[in-house]
Amino acid sequence: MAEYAILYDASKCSACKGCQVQCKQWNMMPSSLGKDDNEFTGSYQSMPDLNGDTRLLIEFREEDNARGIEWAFSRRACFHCKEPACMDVCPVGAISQLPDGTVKLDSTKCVGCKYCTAACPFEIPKYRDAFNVSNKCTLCDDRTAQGREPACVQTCPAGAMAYGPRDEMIAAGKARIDELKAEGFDKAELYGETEMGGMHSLFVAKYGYETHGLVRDPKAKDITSLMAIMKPLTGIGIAAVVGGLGVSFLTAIGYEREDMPRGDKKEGKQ
Amino acid sequence: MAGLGPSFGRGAMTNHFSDLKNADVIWAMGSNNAENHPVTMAWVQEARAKGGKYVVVDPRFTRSAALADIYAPIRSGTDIAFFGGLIKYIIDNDLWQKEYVENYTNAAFLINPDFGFDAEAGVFSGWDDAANSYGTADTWKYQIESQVPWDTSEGAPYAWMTAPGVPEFTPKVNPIPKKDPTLSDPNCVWQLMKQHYARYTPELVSKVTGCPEDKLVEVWETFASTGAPEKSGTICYAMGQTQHTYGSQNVRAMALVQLLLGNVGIAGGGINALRGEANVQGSTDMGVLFHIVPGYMPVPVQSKHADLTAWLDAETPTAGYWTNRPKFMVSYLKELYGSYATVENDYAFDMLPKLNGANHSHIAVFEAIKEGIVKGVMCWGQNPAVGGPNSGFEREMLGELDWLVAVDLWETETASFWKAPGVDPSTIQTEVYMLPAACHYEKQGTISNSGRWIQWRYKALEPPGEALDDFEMMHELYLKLKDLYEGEGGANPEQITKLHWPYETDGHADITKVAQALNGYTIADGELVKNFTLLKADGSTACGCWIYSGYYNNNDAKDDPTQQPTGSRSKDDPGGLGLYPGWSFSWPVNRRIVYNRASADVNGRPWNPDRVLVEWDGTQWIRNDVPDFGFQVVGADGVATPIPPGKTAFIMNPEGVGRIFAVGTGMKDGPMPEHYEPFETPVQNLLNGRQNNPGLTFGSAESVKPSDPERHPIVCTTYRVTEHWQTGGMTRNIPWLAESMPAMFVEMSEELASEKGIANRDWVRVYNERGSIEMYAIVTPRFKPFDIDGKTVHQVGMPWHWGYGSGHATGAIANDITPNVGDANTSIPEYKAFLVNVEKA
Amino acid sequence: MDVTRRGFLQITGAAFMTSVMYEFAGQTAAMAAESGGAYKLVDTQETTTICCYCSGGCGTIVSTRNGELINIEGDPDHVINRGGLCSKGSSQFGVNSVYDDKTGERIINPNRVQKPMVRRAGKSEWEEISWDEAFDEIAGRIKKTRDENYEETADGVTVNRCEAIASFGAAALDNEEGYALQKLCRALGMTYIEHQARI
Repeated sequence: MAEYAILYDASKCSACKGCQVQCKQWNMMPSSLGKDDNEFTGSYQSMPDLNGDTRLLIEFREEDNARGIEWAFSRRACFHCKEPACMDVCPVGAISQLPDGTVKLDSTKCVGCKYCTAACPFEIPKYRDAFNVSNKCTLCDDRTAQGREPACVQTCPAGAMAYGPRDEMIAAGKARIDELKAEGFDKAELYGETEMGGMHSLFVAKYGYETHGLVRDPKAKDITSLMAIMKPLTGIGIAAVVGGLGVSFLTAIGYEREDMPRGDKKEGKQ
Repeated sequence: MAGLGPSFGRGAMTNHFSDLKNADVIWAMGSNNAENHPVTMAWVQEARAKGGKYVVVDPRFTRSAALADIYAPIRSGTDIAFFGGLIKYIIDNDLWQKEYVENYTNAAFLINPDFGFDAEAGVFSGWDDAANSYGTADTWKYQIESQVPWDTSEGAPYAWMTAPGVPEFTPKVNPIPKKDPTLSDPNCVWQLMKQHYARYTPELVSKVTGCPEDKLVEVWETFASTGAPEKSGTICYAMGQTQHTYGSQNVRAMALVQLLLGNVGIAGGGINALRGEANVQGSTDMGVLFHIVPGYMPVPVQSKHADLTAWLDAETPTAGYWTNRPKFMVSYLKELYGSYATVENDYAFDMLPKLNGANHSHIAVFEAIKEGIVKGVMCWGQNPAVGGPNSGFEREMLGELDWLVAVDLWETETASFWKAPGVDPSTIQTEVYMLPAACHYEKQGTISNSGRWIQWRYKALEPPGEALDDFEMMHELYLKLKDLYEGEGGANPEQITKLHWPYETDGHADITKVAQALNGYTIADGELVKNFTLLKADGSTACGCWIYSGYYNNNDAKDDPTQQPTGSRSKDDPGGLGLYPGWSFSWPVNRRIVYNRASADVNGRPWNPDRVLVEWDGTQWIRNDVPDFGFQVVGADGVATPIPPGKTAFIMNPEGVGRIFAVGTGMKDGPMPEHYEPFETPVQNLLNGRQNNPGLTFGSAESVKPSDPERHPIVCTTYRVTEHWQTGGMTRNIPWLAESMPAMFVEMSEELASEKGIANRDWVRVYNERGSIEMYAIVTPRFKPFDIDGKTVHQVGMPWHWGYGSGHATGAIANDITPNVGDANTSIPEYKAFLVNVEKA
Repeated sequence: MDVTRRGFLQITGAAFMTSVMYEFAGQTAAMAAESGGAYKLVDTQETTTICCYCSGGCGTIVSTRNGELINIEGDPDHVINRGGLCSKGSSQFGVNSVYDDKTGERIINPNRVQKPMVRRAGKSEWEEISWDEAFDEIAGRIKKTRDENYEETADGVTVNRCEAIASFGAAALDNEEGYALQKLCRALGMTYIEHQARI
């Protein structure tokens, strides 16, 4: 079976967040029913980062430089790596790779140990409190199995996302980079062709990786090698031990994405 | 919209959404289309993929600006200066489309020699300071060459007015204006325009707008390139143009530009009014406004419309398609009062309430409450407690009412005004009813998008709990009132009891019956009419809204919307221009691009052979769109004979051309747009001697409490964000959206923030004489101070989606500090430019 | 990948069962075994509507099963939005239903008003009333205000008007409702008839 991929083009994205909301709609993810308990980020960005109930987030970064104002929009969600660190560390086999390249997290098997989060170079999988599981993009494999586009791709009103055979998406992404360079966006580059063995969610970075908050040369977190030893272990007792270890690993790693607005409302400008 | 009607004849978007792909240049001015009409962006990108340019001019660097090929900043409220400079640029550089301007506009028409503009006084001829009005604007008129009386003889065009049953009125005499085809007469429109905009030099426009001169010229040059006959440019606008005290003139300024460049009536061209609400086009079409009844016909006024004859005499024009207005009015009256409406009783014309001549617009309602005139208010899905200008005043006035009915899905701030922060409910005597409504997919009916497409929405499921759809509520209320007046009598009971209200099937309210009434039918047999050309002034037809005629005309399936034009879903696209004539129904008569005669030259040859709307092939018209002109005559034998090309491209205007100069009283504040400063401004008007638009409304109302430029020197504007809608009544009650944009904020430049000691995410206060509100600050390089004639002018902006009401995201009401002053023609409030100050809270 | 798979919608337009899903029954069963649930839209009825937010007129498909809301997404066959919906459009589901943030269950949006209510003069709480009571009281109030403030003539001209009642709103209504509203208001003699186009 051919490998499939999403192509996200930040130069066409209008940051309307249609994908962010439609992802929650299709995948039946809630938002808080409380009053005023969503944090204000200090920008148009909805929340500081993905969370247990949010698999896709549109990020906002802005720079005022010699070229003028660069308001960079980024689609933050699982990249569906060809060499998925999350899958390697999952102790219960809840994460698998489908023939089309989709990295799927089966919540019925997940024990909520958070190793996947720790191992992921992007800290994409998030812990979903209410269900004690990790949560991340499934590339809408339920839809793609029916011959349909992922919900985020279909809903994009700006035509900034496409879904199709990965080689075609790479070709389209490269062609777009050439167009952008011709328009004067000399730092434009395509993300995901080779990163992590090649990704199934590609990203046309109009202003270059850094401006869009993309990690250059991402590597699986160190936890991976350690977990290679743990992985063969199975059983309820072991799962509990692993779960405990997971917490301490997370604490030790303490991975924080620096360019995200976070913290309480008293803090000054980021 | 009030600027489009006097220019082209119809107050609606000229083109439609999928047509944006045909443009060589798309200019968003006063519209943040990427954020507020996101669906436009796929079409913008299609145009760009073919080499088109996307230009954004806005005080703020918006999400639209982020995607633009060219972005230019402009101080809020200076659009006419920007457009005026462009008009001068087009003339000076000879970039106008000559054949188009000469034939399809009134450039060659001669104006009364006494017309003029006094730049020192800042007013046009005819201004009366004492009356505070231009009155009848006698000098804003054409010079007349000859008078042609209507031919009402048998077989002649106006024979219908002598038929039995047609109410009496006087046949018209059509004045034929004098013209100078060489455009050299000093009184011709072309010369007057040239002279008027001579003051709008790039240097001066830059000083007024704060837009750097090189940016101005870059935008002008790019857009003026569409003056080439085969090129098309479109301007997308929205409330950024209309919410000013000269909002209608902003729209007129765009009309001038587009007429000069030959961009009206062509694929990829036009002036596209991106309307702010899902069905605000439709609700305007339906005449749910104080001054018009359905189909854009004036509401009777006591001083000039004593009876139907007087109305027909005053409101029937001398030429153009609107000469059919008597047919549409009589058909409307027949729909309202059915068999009670007869030629003997003036078709029940007296049952229509007559205005006393005073302004009855939104702002006026609250002044009328203050004066004790208005005592009861019904709100059908509107939330003035958050959405109205100077909303603190509006909430205070709601407390003066005897009763208020709020129909909505949610408990809006209007329904709950008596429990607003700081209000003691025990002091408020208003009785408030909150009625739960059904949402759009819990009921059925049609909705009209900005592009005039009338689409059916089907019912998918029952509303929750006891909620009812609005129509059922109106139906029950009507029946109850009818019972009361039949039983008890009261003031003029017949006005209610004689009303024709047959919208029921098996004892239940039936919206398809209203659809049939809107489409129109012949009274004798109840058969739906094919379209409005079959409506009559003799009382034999009924039609609720003539422009909708044809949208629901299938007699074989009257109760089945899927079998009606409005429910049609064919994706056929003749010409490949995205016209989709088989998808739903577009008013008028399924025409997708109005004024499409202008897409071809005087001989009927399209300006651009790749964008054919209509084309004369020598013997007949090739039609990808429904022609907006007389293209054939159908004889009594049913045989159609083609009409060769004429020059009447604007059939709704009596003179048949687009108006660079708005003659008569079509515009209350000037026949050509002139720059004035907003009602509240920190700078002097540099273009003429008058600070504000002389025609602005409510400027002297006590409730307005103008800001003081010394104490409130910062220009403020309000706007919307993609994640929320209007007052937030819908969107703050949906958790996904509350999370998407959770809190109220004010955006400001780094320069202003540094002056005020404000950091990003600080809690700040924004205030003026009308109020003081608190919110988060967003400090961003996307806002920049303006250099206005050497003076630094700061601008801030806030969205107006928040309020105290129920939901998941509450916050300050931006409109608590916006001014309740209005545009000269529409009385739309000036939400887009007013003065405030800002401090750290 | 061919995603516009709904040619037959062009014919029917309104509501129909998603028979197309049966074609994928085998796949659906396999997936159900893997992920513990059937494809979301199996056995749903699809109804077309138009988004309630901006004036773009984006086509939208509402999927229901046994009268319950299952899903709302863009209509891939619609010629304007071609399946697209922005954040607001994508949230149309939330107008009727939301997912509980504790249990994940679908519930009716708790903010929806579901019964007619009245707030009596000077009181600080809503009271529930029946529809009959609501219509009786409102019609009575309209009649009283109208009768007490009605003008039949002014300056010798028949004017038949009542200036004491105002109506706001229509842009959130369907066209037919807007028409009925102005008809009802004008039959009451009302002159203060306004809606969102004015602001």
